[in-house]
Amino acid sequence: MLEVRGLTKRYGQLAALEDFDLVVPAGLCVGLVGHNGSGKSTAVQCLSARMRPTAGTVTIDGLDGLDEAHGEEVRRRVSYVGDAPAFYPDLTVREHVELVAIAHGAGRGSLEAAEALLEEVDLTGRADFRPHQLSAGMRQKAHLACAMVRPFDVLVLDEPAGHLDGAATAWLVRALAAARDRGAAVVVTSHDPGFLAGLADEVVVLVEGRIGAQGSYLDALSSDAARRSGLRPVDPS
Amino acid sequence: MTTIAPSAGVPTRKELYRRLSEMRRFPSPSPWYRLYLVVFLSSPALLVAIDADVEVAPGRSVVLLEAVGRWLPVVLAGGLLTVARVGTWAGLAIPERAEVAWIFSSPVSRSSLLRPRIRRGLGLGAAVGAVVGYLGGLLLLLEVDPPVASALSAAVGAGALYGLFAAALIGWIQASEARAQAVLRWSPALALVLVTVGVVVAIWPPVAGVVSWSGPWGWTSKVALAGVAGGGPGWQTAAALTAVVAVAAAGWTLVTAHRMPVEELARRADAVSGVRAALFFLDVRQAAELRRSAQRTLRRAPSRWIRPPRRASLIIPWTDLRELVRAPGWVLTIGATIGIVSLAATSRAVQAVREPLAVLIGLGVVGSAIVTMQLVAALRTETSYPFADRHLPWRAARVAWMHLLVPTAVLTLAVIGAWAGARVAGTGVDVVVPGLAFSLLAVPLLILTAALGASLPPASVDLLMQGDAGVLAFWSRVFVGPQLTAAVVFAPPALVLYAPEPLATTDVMVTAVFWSMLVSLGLGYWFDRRLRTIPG
Repeated sequence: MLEVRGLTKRYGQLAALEDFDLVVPAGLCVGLVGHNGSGKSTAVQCLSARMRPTAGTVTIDGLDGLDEAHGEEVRRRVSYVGDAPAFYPDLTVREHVELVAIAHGAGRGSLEAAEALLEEVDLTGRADFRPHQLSAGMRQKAHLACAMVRPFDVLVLDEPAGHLDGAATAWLVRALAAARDRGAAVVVTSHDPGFLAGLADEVVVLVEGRIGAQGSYLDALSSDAARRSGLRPVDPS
Repeated sequence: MTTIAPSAGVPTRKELYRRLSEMRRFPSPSPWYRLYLVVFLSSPALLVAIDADVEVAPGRSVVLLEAVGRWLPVVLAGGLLTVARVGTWAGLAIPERAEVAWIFSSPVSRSSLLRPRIRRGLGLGAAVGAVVGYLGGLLLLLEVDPPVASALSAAVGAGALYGLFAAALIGWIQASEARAQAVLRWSPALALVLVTVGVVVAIWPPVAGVVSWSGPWGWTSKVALAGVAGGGPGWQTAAALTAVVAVAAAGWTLVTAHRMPVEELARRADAVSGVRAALFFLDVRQAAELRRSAQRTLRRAPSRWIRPPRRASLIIPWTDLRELVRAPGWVLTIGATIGIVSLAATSRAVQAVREPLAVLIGLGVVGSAIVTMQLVAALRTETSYPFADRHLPWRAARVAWMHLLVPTAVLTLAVIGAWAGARVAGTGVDVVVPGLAFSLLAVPLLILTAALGASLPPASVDLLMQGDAGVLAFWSRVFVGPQLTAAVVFAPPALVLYAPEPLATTDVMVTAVFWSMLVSLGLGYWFDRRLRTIPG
């Protein structure tokens, strides 16, 4: 379970996130929506313990996520997909996925799991390419494969559908739903309400770093805060 | 505002080619500058000729010539291999990127655009070869007492032909992406073959005779040594072969200039301009990264013949080891270090020093520091791409420490191998055992200083220009390793060598162990603190 209380992040005079509370139990998917600069990326970086907030607490399965002593345990439990994929320039896609799988102790079937995931994201043909030889969409797929191949309790994704084509986006929605159904706590940001339709059990609308609305998909996206941000619910069908 | 004079008329095609071919030509040096160069370059030979009455023991000359004749073909073959690898990302004719985009894509004969550049490159190769041959001839003249004119002319001629062949080799590789890929793929194996040949030649000298006829490297060495030794079996044939092969290779490169693909020219123009810019700002790390990046685009899918380990703790060292095997530049550096130390051991300069061991240790320490800086390449990549480890379960500091396991193991094995080689070559146990012990003490110092350098950001020219801060930046990245190693590990045995009163060996060992451990711990603490400032 992921729990954040009173999360605040300031960059000088700018309050990117203000008094942000969120509880994501296991088996729940929460979507964070908002316009550009509303604080979505800051929120997911803080709640995945990748960024130290100015104030507030982050608790992951009872562990203090901001305590250095728990740093590695938190990294083992939280899988994070940032908005900018970062790779080693000298490793191929397959080597990246295998590296992550083995490093997380995915066990005897780790190489087979890596291979299966590459096939799922349609990267088998590019598995022996290095990151700079891939298109932006393929790099994003490789990034997602790295995040999915390892075991995790909490999955945090920042705009994961960026650069993905329709088929890959559909795969991503299925994969996130499967992760949620396996008992993971999933937090995903998007400025596209259509991506969250049918996936997010709960939606949080962020406005200028504060929670403007929170609730079910339809309730949150029908709120005044969502309308002010130019967001509208989309029919899941 | 620039005013453009109206054109007198449309240039003819021939005139256009002439103008294009002269676009990048350097201004000709003045006759006085040429005279200065001739005097400057020939002055050492004149000095050697004047000082020709130096007595050299005849037996020693024969031994030296025999040793050089045995090793020179292997060294020259290594040089060609290095040149071939340079030919995979740079080249004989490198236009500017804008020229590739604008001029080479226009309907102008590509060979007409490239040939002047290729001719210039071939000339430069021959000139560099001649200068290297000249310097090598001078070194031999210090040891042997042949007629100066014949020795130098043979060395210069052989060097020029070798340089011409090497330049043509670069052009041959540049003309085809498949050749560049083959060089990248097979050069590590060829380097291994060369090392093996070197070992075989050391153990079984008659093989050197076969090696000297095996290709341009051997023929060149025969010609170069013929001037010093006053001839030699078959040197005329070797000279003819060298000349024919070098001229034919150069001619072939010129004739097939039009085959150089525009994509290759563009790739190389990008790489070379990037590396030049990085070197202009003394950013060696960026230059190396750009070179590697240019070569990466050529590499095929990496071999998967060894499956990775399943234990999480082994995956980082295993990945580092695999990358070292894929880019074994450090093997060449180790070979060059051993070669330089061996050459130094046979030179008169070292023999003249009271204790030649001190000079050899100095060269060995500097060479080892350079090798270590290459071995920690994975750590350098880690700190250069700080967010690439975000999917790993370990903190950045722990990953960085893991990256030191393979360099430590490789350097330790190299040290053990070097001293084992010295023992096989006949060095006494009384030298090998303490030498090995002190060298092993140097390993953590070299590794940690190289790791510190790799964890620091590149030293930009702005930083280096900042007086004391610049000196400190340069020292902390390059010189701290050799200096600390020399001061901490090798100062105690030097004290023994030069002390007026004999010192107890145990005291020396204890002192060296104590100080090297203390300094290593301090460096380790500094490195760990430094890692905490790296994001990721």
